[in-house]
Amino acid sequence: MKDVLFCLRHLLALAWRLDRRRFVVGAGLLLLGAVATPLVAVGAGRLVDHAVDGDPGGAALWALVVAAALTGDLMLGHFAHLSYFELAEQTEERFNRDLLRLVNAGDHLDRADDPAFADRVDLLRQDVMQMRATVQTGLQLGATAVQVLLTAAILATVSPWLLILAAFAVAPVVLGRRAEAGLQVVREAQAPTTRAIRSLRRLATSPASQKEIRLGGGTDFLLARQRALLDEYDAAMGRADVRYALLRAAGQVVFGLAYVGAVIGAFWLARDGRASLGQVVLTITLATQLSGQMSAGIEMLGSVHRAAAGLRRFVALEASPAPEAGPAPTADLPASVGDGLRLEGVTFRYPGATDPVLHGVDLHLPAGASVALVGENGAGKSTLLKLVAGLYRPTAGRVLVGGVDLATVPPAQWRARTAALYQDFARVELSLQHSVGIGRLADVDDEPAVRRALHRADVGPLADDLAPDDVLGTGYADGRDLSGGQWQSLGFARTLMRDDPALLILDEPAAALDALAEQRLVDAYQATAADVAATVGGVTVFVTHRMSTVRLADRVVVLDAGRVVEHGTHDELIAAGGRYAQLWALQSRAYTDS
Amino acid sequence: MTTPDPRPSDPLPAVSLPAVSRPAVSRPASRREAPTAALARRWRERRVAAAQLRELTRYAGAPLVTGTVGVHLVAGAAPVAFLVGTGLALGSVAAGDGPGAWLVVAALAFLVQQLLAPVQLVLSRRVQRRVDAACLERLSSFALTGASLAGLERPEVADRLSQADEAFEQWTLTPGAAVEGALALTARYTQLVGALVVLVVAAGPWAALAGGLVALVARLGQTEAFHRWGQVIRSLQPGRRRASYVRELATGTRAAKEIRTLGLVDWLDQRYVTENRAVLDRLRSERRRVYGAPFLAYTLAALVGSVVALLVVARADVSVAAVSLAVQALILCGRFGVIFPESDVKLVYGRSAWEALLELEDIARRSGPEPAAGCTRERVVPEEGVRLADVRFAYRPGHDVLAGLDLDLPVGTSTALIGVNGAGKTTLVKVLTGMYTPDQGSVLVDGRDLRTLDVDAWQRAFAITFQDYLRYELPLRENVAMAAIAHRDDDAGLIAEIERVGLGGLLAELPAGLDTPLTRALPGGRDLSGGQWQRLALARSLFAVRHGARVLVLDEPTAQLDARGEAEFYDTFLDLTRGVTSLVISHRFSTVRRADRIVVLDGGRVAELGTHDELVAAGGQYARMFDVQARRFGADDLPEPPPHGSAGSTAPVGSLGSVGSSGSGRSAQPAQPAAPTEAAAAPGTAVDAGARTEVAR
Repeated sequence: MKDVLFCLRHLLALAWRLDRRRFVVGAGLLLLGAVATPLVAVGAGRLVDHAVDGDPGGAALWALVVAAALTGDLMLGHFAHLSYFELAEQTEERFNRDLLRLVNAGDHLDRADDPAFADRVDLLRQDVMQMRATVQTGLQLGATAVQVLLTAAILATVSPWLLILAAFAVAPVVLGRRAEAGLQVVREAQAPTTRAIRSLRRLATSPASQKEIRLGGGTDFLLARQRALLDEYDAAMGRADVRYALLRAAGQVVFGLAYVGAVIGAFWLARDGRASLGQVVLTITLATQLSGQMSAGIEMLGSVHRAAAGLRRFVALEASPAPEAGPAPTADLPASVGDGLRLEGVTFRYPGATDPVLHGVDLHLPAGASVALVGENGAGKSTLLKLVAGLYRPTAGRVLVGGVDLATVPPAQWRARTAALYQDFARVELSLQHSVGIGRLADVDDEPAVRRALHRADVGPLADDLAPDDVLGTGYADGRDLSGGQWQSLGFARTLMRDDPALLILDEPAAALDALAEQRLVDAYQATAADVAATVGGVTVFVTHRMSTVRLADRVVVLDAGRVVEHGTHDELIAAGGRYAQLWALQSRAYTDS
Repeated sequence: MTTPDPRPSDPLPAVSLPAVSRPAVSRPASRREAPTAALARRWRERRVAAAQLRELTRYAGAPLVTGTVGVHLVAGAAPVAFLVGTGLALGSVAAGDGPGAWLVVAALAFLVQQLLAPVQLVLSRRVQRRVDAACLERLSSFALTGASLAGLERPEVADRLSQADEAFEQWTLTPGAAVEGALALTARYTQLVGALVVLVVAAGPWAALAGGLVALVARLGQTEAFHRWGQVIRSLQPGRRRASYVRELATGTRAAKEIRTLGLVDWLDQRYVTENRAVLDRLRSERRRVYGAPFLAYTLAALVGSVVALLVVARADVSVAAVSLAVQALILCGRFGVIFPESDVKLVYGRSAWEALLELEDIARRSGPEPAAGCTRERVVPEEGVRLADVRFAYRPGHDVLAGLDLDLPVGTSTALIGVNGAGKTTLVKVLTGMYTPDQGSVLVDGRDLRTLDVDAWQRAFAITFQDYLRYELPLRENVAMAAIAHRDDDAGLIAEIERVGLGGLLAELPAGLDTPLTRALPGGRDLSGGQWQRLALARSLFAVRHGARVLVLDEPTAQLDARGEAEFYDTFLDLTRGVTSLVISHRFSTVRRADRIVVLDGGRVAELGTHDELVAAGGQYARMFDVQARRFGADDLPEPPPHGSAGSTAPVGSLGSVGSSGSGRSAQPAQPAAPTEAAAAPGTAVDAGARTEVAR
């Protein structure tokens, strides 16, 4: 109950702040509708009483009241929704905007990269979507509460004993919930079956899978399996339904008997002259409503209660700002990177992880050089990139830019001077102009700037093929369907919107391109790296497992299990005959064997 | 009982709108059509809907349907019986007698109503399950046997398929739901008819007429508005989806790096507000248009109707019983003027999957004779070779993907295909296997035109690993045996192939061995890395070869293998292709190099053909592409292979801990559901997407 109150107070206060007029109109009409419902019963009772007394004038008057109340009952809630649905939409928007800032708070990625945080954010996004419905439910709940109280009060005027009916109305609710819970248990137990059914259905309806299944002759097997699964599901749910129906029926019968008792009681009072016939009519009409109102009310309480958990999660996130250790950094970056970037004893551990990803890395990335990072999956290459980009702060050790510790500099300063294309870069499905233009927000609407970036990234025919306003991707609109390589090219163009970075980062640039496309991209990288080196003395760092690309770098750094195991030029490392030489031999065999 | 508002003001969740239900007959030509035309259209739609529902209802089985309708009838009649009972009991009390037998009738009616409510629910659910199961089976068997593969890849077909698919994804607004929703109307209408009869008897025809007016005006108004609102939501869909894309981009963690490094928070916030307000503004004005003014009219009608009915009752010199009956009956009429949550949404949206299925079957019928179902015939085994003779093929007229292709595949040799992305490599496989029929030229099997052969029997000769191979959420056993499923009990064969592709170590680790489900979603299940799945897909084809397939086709078999895995494939290539006719497609030279013959595709025809050495010597396109990579490896400065390490070993890899996890990383696609097939394609390789574009062209 505390949760429910917390949730309602918070949401309704927010809604009140957002739009008072809609709040008043919506809630007011809902309340009027709530009063109209019991009024129908009261009016019907008085109408009958006047008819019994042979008073057509009074009867006519109450007839008008009943007609008005019935119409109000039917329509007031409807007109209320015009206002309070809009109120709820505004509330949802507010929550989304707040969430946007909460999720992206903090200059570092530590939290965003934490899978636990990602899960938390996923939950929150669903929670926020619920908030709209919860504002609606909250207002309806208020109206229902008024309705139940009024109904009970009016019933008590006939006989206080009738209030016992309210107690019996709880029985169907309680047993109904238990029945629902039992059904849910079975549903969850059937989850593997439903999942398997779903997976088979997707296999069958996806053209990509149809060809393999047909050619492999697996059709009959899969269809038989689908039938078996469907039968299994039907049987299990059928059994569960029987238990469900029995429980529900038991609850309904308890209330039904109590209700029948109340009706008989009212008739008994009427026969003895202790109640009017109109009061009997009133009782019959009101008492049926009581059960429905109460179960609706309890249902709504339940959904507000569930929403409260989400709201608490949201409030908790608001209360826990991104962990930014220490006082705000105030130092300034030097205008040039001096002799380059240095890592001194850098150790990094992901939040919540027990083992560090990088152990005491010492490394010099000289100004104007291109450096290739080599290592197997999980060696720490991408983490190292994010450290030098200032997206992570070292757990121990320092990253120096031109001799200045990055930790002492406001992150935004260094950000403005780096450009990066990460392996898991975001495919931004906006217009070409915006998807690329956001690489430098100042130029986001500048068409020539985007065109220049596309040209420098050498995206090829795609650039002429797409207009600035063309939407990329097919996620939400009939945009242009791009291949992985094309996305990569456009991601590269986005990176190149910044044309004078002190640090250029390219992670796994050509994972799956054909030889010629890869060559084109690598050439573009090369040109950019040379450009960056020549104009601003910048550093280019890239990661790839294509050894032929690695060779193009000025220096090669080999990582293994979070440590730098080798570094030097290609020739030096080949001569050393270590791990790098081994990887090199492995890949080059296909090209050099005869 | 106004409370849990079933009004469909927003019955449709923002993005998961059940696929737009296309009226089979016609769609509204314009927003403002003549009222009579609109009525006529609505009437036609209703008749189509009724016909569809009748057909669907058969799937539930006559006994179940009869039982359900019967229960709904009784449940609908019970409230009427109750009000008659109480009314008459009231009359006899007024007359000075006891309430007597009528009160018993009322009590029984009430109890029956209470008891039947859960029964109605449970029967409805059963109807829904039965109908849905039948629809699902019909959908699957259509997709897997009923239509030609070429037909299934056509955009309009794929569109319908995904429409049908979506409905079953949520499993709420399904054809089964439409059927049970339709049956549930029985109860509502029984109750209305009962109430009107009571009104006629108790207060005369005028009161009944007024009561009917109250019920039907409000009800028709609600359903009409519901239809119109559905159209509004549909027309707002692009904007809604755009807004929700921006919202997800901005509030998710997927683009966290970009948002921080590029400082996008304010820009995205602004963008979201702009997109969202555009939608909300439309939503508001439409809501007022649909649910505002017209409802003032309905309210007036309801008010007039109630006043007339009640005044007739109040002024007539009738008995107490009649007054009570009439008032209660009128209240029942009033309660009819709402959206029925148990029926309306389901009726309108539930049929969309069924309509899609009917259209699919229709398209298939129109596009040619149905291929014979089942794959029971003997496979066609080529004795000498397969030949593609001057094959031309285009997805769209004038855009040849294969343009006069000539290619021989002699039995027992290995052939490799290489070419830049989009050169038609995957299309060639589809023509070769008879999935597509060439526009010109022919595929000859031992000199016989494929057109004269049984395509199913021909396809049985193949073992194919596509680049978007499948990851079945099934046990390892079925995953390997799927291309020769009749032999899934051949444990020795399964294990041999699993070990051959280097997954022996994995098999040893799996808790239930061959019967371990390969999905974490199932109890005791395990998921594999990208590289492991790729090896498994290879094992699937090898197992098919073991059981009689004679032509092995591998499309980009090393795309997801890392340097070590690629090297192993290179080393075992000769072993894998020994004795079968094989065709390997790849852009990796290490993968194609050991083939007996290498074919370079360019512009839809064979540009070069020969062994690796011949092609390098010829100095053509192959030589250039090879050189681009080989030059960087620079044969001159190659050191001796290191003495240590497993690099050069041809033995299957023992430990799989480090091999084969996909290097191409997480997919950055938005909100991509983890469908198995999509997951297979998720690493988003350029070649893969290139192939899709090819299809779309």
